[in-house]
Amino acid sequence: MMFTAPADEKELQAALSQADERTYLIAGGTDLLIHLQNRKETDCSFIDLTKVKELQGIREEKDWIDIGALVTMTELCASPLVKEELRALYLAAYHLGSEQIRNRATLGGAIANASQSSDCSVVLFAYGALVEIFSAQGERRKVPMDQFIKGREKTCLDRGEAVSRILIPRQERSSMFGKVGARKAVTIAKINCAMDFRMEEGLIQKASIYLGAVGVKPVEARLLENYFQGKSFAEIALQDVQELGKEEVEKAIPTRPSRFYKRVAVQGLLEDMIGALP
Amino acid sequence: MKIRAVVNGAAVEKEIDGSKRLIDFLREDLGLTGTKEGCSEGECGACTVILNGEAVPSCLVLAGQIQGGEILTIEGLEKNGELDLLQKKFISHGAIQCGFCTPGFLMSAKALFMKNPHPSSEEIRRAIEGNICRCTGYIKIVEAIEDAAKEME
Repeated sequence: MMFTAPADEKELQAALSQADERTYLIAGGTDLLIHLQNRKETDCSFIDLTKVKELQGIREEKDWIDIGALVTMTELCASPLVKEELRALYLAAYHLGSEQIRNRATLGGAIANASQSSDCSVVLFAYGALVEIFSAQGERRKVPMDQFIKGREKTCLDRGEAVSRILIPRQERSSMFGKVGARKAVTIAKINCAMDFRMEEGLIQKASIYLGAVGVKPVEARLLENYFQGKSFAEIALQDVQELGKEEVEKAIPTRPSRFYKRVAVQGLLEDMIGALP
Repeated sequence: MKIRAVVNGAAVEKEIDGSKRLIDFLREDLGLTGTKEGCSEGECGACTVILNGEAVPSCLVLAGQIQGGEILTIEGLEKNGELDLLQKKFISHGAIQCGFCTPGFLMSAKALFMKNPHPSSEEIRRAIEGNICRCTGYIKIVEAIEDAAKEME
């Protein structure tokens, strides 16, 4: 077993160029170590990303909010910029896991693990985020979230690549996140949803809405998007939204046994979310 | 690898396999067996320790990741033979039954007090939401922490 902890991108590059099929990138470890344990994998090497300085911090840029892959859920919750401008991401981070998990779990890890019920993924899909990937060659490429996550626990990351930053486009927005789990706290979503609205003079100019845990990756809820388009929040009728939500679930998982539960659960979820809109 | 860290206020330097878990490093290499292993997947909170001022599940941190950091475990709460206020309150409120979850609860509560000396009831509940107790029903634990918070005012 090997353990290396690069301090910057240069050292990371060197570590990545030596990665083989048994090398794992670790940040918070809250998903990875459980996976390795379940698979009874012990003969592996680790590249610890947590010391790489270029992967830290939240940067406010003119057109983007640029979040380092190592930013933890706790750091997201503590950022006034995230709380003010990225309400859905704030809520997803706030309700994720427990205090101990939020202190370790990172945004980069959340998407690199590509869990089908990931709360952060569904939010980043709705925001139309870009994922910046850093390679052993020192190159950077940017991939839209919906191309980054390819399926259940599958991403477009190649060996020798790491998620370095996540870029969220800025706009006049109102966003919302909600989830339904088996209990109130420390729960994995049975169904979750993120909504991102581009607002203009109080009207929804463009709606981007995704449902999570109803497929191998977040699913765009086009019926809901069309419904919201052009309306003000006051014009939204909960019953219409719930009916469309039910249809979306039927469409996304027509054969899964969980559809009977989820097409009802989605209505409660939408009621919570619509109730929390400004 | 050579690991350098401060554990319960004392500098520690040891040649270890950086890819072992922090809980194994604490229990096996340092003999600090007060930290308990419950679920091994970050759900139960029994193995909670404080790393650089934050409560973390020591079953999901690799020992190599604490390089240069500062760790506080249950063994570090007692000062000069005197228990920490939280420990005293757990005892006087009967917030302990079998005791297996207790070190984890105490470290979660301690981490909260280090960040926020005057927490509300809501903040206390949120801080220990990642700790599971199968004996007490939580009420006495919350009361013990609330009482400690009150006494610190």
